[in-house]
Amino acid sequence: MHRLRRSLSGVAPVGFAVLLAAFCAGGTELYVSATASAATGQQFAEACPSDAALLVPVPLPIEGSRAQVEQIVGAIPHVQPPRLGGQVRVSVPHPSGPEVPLRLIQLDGLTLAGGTDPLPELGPGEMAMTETNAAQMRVEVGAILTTEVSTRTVNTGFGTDPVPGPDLRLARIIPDVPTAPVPVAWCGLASLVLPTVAGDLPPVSAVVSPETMAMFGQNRAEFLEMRLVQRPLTLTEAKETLAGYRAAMAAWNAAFAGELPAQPNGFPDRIGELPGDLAVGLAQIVGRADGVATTVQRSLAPVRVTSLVAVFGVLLASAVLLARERRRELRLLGIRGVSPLRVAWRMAPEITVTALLAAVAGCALAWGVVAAFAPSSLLEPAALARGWLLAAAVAVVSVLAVLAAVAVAANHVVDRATHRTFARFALPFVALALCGLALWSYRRLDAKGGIRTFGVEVRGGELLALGFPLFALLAGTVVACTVIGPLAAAARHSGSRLPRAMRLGWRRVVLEAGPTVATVAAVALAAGSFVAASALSEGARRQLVDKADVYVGSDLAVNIYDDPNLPADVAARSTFVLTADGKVDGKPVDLYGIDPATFAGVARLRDDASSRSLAELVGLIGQVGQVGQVARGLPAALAVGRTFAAGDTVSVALPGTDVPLVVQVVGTVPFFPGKATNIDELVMQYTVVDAALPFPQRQLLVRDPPPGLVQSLRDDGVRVGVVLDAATTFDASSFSGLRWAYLPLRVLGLLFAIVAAAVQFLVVAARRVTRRAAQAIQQRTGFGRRSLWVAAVTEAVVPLAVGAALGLGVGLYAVGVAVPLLDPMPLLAPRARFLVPWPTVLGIVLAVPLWAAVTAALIVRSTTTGDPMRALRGEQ
Amino acid sequence: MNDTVITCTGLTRRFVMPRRGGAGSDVLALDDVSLQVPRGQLVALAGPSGSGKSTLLALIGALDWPTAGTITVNDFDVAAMSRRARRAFRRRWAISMMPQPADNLLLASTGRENVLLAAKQRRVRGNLQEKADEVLARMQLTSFAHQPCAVMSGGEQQRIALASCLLGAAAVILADEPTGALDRTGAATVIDALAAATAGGVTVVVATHDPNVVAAADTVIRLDHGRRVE
Repeated sequence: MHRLRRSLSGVAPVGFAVLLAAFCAGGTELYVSATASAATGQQFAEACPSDAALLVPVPLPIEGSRAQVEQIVGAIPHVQPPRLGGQVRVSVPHPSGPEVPLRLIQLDGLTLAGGTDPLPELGPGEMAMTETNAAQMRVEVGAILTTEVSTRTVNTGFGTDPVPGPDLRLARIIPDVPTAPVPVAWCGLASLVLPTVAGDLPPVSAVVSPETMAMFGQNRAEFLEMRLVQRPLTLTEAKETLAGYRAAMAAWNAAFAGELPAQPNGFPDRIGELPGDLAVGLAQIVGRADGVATTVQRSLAPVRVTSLVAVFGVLLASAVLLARERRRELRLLGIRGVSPLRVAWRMAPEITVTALLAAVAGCALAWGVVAAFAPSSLLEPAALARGWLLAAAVAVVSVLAVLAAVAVAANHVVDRATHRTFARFALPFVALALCGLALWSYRRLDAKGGIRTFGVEVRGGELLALGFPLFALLAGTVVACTVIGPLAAAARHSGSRLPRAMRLGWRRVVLEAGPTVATVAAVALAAGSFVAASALSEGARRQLVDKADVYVGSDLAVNIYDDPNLPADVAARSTFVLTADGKVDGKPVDLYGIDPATFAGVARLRDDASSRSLAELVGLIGQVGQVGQVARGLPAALAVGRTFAAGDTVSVALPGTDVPLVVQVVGTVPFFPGKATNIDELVMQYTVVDAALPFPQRQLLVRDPPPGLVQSLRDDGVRVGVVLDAATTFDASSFSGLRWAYLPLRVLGLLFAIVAAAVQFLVVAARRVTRRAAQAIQQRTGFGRRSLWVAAVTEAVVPLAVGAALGLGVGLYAVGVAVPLLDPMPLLAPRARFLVPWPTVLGIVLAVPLWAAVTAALIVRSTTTGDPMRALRGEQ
Repeated sequence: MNDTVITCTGLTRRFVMPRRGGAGSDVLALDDVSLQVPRGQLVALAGPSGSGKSTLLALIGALDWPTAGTITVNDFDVAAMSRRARRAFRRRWAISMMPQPADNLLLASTGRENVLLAAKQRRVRGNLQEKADEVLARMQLTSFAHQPCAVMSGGEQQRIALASCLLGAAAVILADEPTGALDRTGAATVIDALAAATAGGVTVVVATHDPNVVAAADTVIRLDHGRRVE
């Protein structure tokens, strides 16, 4: 029992520090993997499975080609069994007179409507049509259609040689395929289901069986569709599949290129891409997911470095505590002349075992935390292997560091001539170095910016620039600590008028400046990083909302070509705007026409855009019911951007007309709802733009749109163009990555809080022997338990309060400087703005007394437990 | 090699205290002390607390550097040695230190393990187990041999420490208050053991307040305020 207690009392803090280090090292690796998987899953969820599939043509003129193609695609990993498909374009007579084109399609696994029921069995020479297609063809079940096939050969080029095809009987009329969304089984054939961009009905088509398709011989196109497996895929697996696609394409080209007599008739366009570069959806999905993973990885780099540095500090403190716990042994061996290395070697087995167990526990904990709280629980095997490897490396480095610390302690334990001057002189140099690092990182951030997103592409994001908030926090904390240490020493005689118990607590704070400074630093880092994490993550979310509000103009923007009949409640939250392009002195400008009566109630404008409210700005360009005109009779315009100034008269050249639009600028703002480009914009009344331009683009803006509004517009026959939804506008970009990248910062704050708690625990543990001895004497002089509590609370609360205030101040200042420079889309208004995360600040302020109470309880308990006589002998 | 094992000449040790202690913080622990200790003698360093007895032992044991003066132990100039050389000297030239109060024991280990550890570190040859049992019996510690030192009384710990020194085949034993925590019987046992060691050629220097130790000593050196007074 004595041996066990001896072992645990010394190495338990070391184990704890190693556990934290392994958690940081392995956890960051696993978190990046989880976000990559989540990004991959997100991209797959938004894409049609056919878009991510590879469509491989079967060159029918070549004997045995299907078996060859099946062999080629058989090597592609993570895909379902191939779906055989075919297509042929025929002409059939129509009751109206001329023949009409009809596409015959066959694809394994097609279902009825949106359900999972398979299509009804079709015999040879039979076909099935949707209700709409049957109505278009004016046919009923049982109708016989005589087909003609047009062929296109290498010899004839674009010429056609119609040949008679088989007669087909309409055996079934099936329900129309849904369009919003198109069912998974049909999404590869969306062009035969969805209306065209112009609003026309899709081409007429019919489903046939494989036997019927075979009747068309080599005039048909046959292909194999390779869809990905249905289980969630990691990014690595998706990349493996993409590589498999490329290998299959190369193999296909090697086998068939140059031997094909002709491009098969009616072949889907995508197949034409096979011999060229891969442009299938999977490449886009992998590219986007890769962009997110890159964003997270780059953002996490400074977090990982900072956390490991902090935890390494705890590790060294634990090693010092271990040496302190074993000072009797170290001294004994030192007196006997045992070399420091041999002294350290004696402790190697228990430290190694502890470190390895702690590393395993730390990595396992990280695995559990990532699986539970990360955006995805799907982790890549390679990332897991890297995580375990890093944890093992952490264990090895930790063992070496602790043994080195023990050896140094053993070297000095019997040497009375040694003075501890290193720390005193080293700290200012460390502070200077950290200040230099923070300044350097700020200059890099100022010059290069943070991670910039251009659609799915991610640029920038170097460790030095992204690490500025953390480096500034570290520098500020260390600089403050270099001042706090001497201040505490200078205040060693203060507090003489305080009550006895409180004075004892205060004196413990100021007389041992080292532990006080360590606690202040750890608490400051915890509070600072936590508040910085909140400010950055909340700022990223706010940026998304603000930019989406400005980009879209409101919650929903729909380009429409007809007058909609909106429900009354929706109409009350809607407005129409006109957009158009113009030129001023040869330079492009955007024109934005708004309805002053309704615009301010639908759109939002951030409060730093102007000293005026949105309603006041709209009022500048005209009162409700009037055409906004200034004194000289010119229409009034609000200039968005820097080119124009209030009072300017601007002549705008318009497309489609020789008559320029002359307006007078009545006010300027840096950004405005609906501004989607970096080009200057002129905002004026709807009627002004409508009168001046022959073909402006009309847009419907809706605030809090009801679900399915766009579909109901389509159902009402309104032609709908581009739809922008503020909630999802930037989802395709790397904003998910940015959001996910800032999440671990909170964990870092939590980690620093643990570090701070660990530092306090180490201080409490290190002082317990002297406390017990002192208490053994003091309790005889009327220093009761209540006094002990008062002293403990005083001792605990002072460094906590100072640390929290320091961390909040430095953290908020650092993030305030960094946020505008970290804007991932600086060209898209509005610029990122720093907001103080008041709930987090309040939470930290409230946590201080709670934490102090817990620490005080630890102090009291560690002081009152134990044998007073043994405490006086220094054995306990 | 002559019969004088330890020679100290003009030994001075001044401790510079940290500034925050205020004015007059330098402490002169030893002031121009000279002495010679012949081989196989029991020498008692006597004097009031703070007179410099422990400091003198630390200097002789190569645990501290003198501010001035020379120390020669077994013809080695201890004061001029580097830290590494001092470590080797302590290990190879068989000086056993018994700091107060029994700081040279591993409390979690048993008495026998402590004795064996000392012997192994001094590379004592022969059957260590037998030798350990023999020395423990001589110190009347057989019944405590397998108990952890943490549960022993102060006197028992002190005797285990002395047993470690004796089995360590020390040529010089430097003991700081070896009977300080012992009752009369225990103290007598320790004094007898030290006397027996000197009979075997071991030189013993003891810092003590115990008149029985002083009475048993071959030579008594008295210190007061860092100066040799007798």
